[in-house]
Amino acid sequence: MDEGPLHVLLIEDNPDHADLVTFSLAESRPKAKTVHHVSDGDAALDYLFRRGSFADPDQSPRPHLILLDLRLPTVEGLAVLKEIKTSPDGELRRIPVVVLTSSAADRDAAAAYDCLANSYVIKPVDFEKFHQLVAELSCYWLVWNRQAAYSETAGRPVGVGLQDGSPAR
Amino acid sequence: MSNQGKPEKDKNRDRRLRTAAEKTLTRTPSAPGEMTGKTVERVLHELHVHQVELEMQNEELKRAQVALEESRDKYLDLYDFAPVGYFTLTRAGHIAEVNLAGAALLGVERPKLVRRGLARFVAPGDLDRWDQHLVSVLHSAEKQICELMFKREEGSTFHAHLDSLRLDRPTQEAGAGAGPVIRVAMSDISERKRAEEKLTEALAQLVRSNKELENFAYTASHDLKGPLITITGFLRMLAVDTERGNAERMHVDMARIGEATKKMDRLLNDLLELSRIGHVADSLEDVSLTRLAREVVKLLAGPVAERGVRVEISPDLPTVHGERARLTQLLMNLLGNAVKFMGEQPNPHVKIGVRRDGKETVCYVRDNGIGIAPQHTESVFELFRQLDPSRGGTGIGLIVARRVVAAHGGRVWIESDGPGTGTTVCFTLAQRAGPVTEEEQDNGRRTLARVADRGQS
Repeated sequence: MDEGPLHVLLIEDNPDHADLVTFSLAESRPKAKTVHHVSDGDAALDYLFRRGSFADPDQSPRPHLILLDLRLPTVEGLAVLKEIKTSPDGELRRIPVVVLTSSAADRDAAAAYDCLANSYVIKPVDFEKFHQLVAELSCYWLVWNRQAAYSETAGRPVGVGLQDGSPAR
Repeated sequence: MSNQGKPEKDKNRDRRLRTAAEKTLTRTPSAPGEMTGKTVERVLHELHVHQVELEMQNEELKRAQVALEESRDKYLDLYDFAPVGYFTLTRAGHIAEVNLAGAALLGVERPKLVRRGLARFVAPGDLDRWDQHLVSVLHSAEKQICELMFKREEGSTFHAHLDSLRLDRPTQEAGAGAGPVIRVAMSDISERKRAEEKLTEALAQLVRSNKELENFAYTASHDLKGPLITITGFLRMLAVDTERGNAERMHVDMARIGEATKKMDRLLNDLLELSRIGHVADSLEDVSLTRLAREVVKLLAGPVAERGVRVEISPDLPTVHGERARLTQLLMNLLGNAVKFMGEQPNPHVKIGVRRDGKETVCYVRDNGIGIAPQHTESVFELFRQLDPSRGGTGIGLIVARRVVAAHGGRVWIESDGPGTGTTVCFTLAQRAGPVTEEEQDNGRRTLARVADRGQS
């Protein structure tokens, strides 16, 4: 199968933070990546459900990894996360979602995990740990993707995240 | 009170006693003829002594009666003019006796109360509780207490505290008949209830503002972290770019850091400005919103002209008693937003008007700009909340507007039929009618000049 580049959907309203994450992604493995950036929750849902200007699947391919800020204009990050993780579309549900936020509040981390976030990263992002996290999540996706390609009855993926399942910091 | 108090009555009684005594005497068997002169003298003396004794006894009885009457009057006074209502009820809850204070509490003359059920005066919502109270009083030897809402015949209501006790001694109290009666002491606790309600309300308000403060601190810290994260991030980039000797990128990194510090400065200034609004105003005055709106249009002449916006101001906006500088800020923020979110509208138009909603006078700033989705009409009042961060500003205008309006005893809210239909920001203010003096207009001009200076700095 054609593995192609790793597609990352970055949902971040702060343009500076979006640039920083994009730069950081450019340094991480695998090298071949396409970052699709949207700056609010409405646009994120439009992208994921291929609505409006995101209707073209070639222009707006399904991401392999979602990086999600919590405090967003219009629809909040948690609401986007819920939409993804409760979607009837199993493939969408299984996309790993990393919450990227400036909030170190316990209640925010707990709320994110309650909504089935795969990882919770507090900004400013530690480059090395972030690279490691992205590499692991993308590797996992590639493995899962190959299995899916070989067998239509792809097994439910096990927990996505770091080896021990603890939140990445 | 003396014996001369009722002479006629006493004389009659004496006369009756005398007749009865003489009758008794004639019936005695002994004949006076058989008596010797000595015996007669002795008997006469005895009789005189008895007469004096009887008269003394009579005096004594009269005095006792007067004392009893005095005592009865005293306790009747204490009963009637006690500060609480006293009721004697039959076991069915009918009024057998009531003191004047009780009748006054219920607002009915005393004679009209007797034999009526006290339940007639209990507010309908509390009737079940009254029945339960009556049952528990009848089944207990202990005093029972209860708080109920009472309703007078003319419709007014009061909160009453009842102390009720069953009395088993069958009494001769009027209308009570035989069997147990219930003694009820009733006091009006409406004042206390009102104070309690005020206290509860104040407590709820405190809890609300505490929660607000908590959310505020959370949001503020979150938003203040934004620029810090940018600065930290680009400092790292700067380190990497320095190592690689990429001079061009180094300049970009430093520029981003500089921008972030400016943003941080703006956020902190806004927070400071916001914290000042809650403070007690130095001077309150009557402010004509029509005049103020005209001044504000002049202050915003630049952006208004640049966008070609036609601003219409209703001539009959109310005059409000408030702080001119804050009200100026309010109108500037609302008009500024209307101009800013005009979108591609070919005929941009803003109306600052007034309408009556029932008893309320509602002022509004209505534009025909981009409008707002219904799910966002409340969230835009949150600190640093921006639906479109690319439009500049820090997202503080509406929370400032809300605080100014709240400080003036009003509310502010947004009405919109959704994107593309324009936006109407409505607000109410505690208002006061009255002419605006020349002096006040001069004051106003000075304040406006200050605000304008601040706006440019």
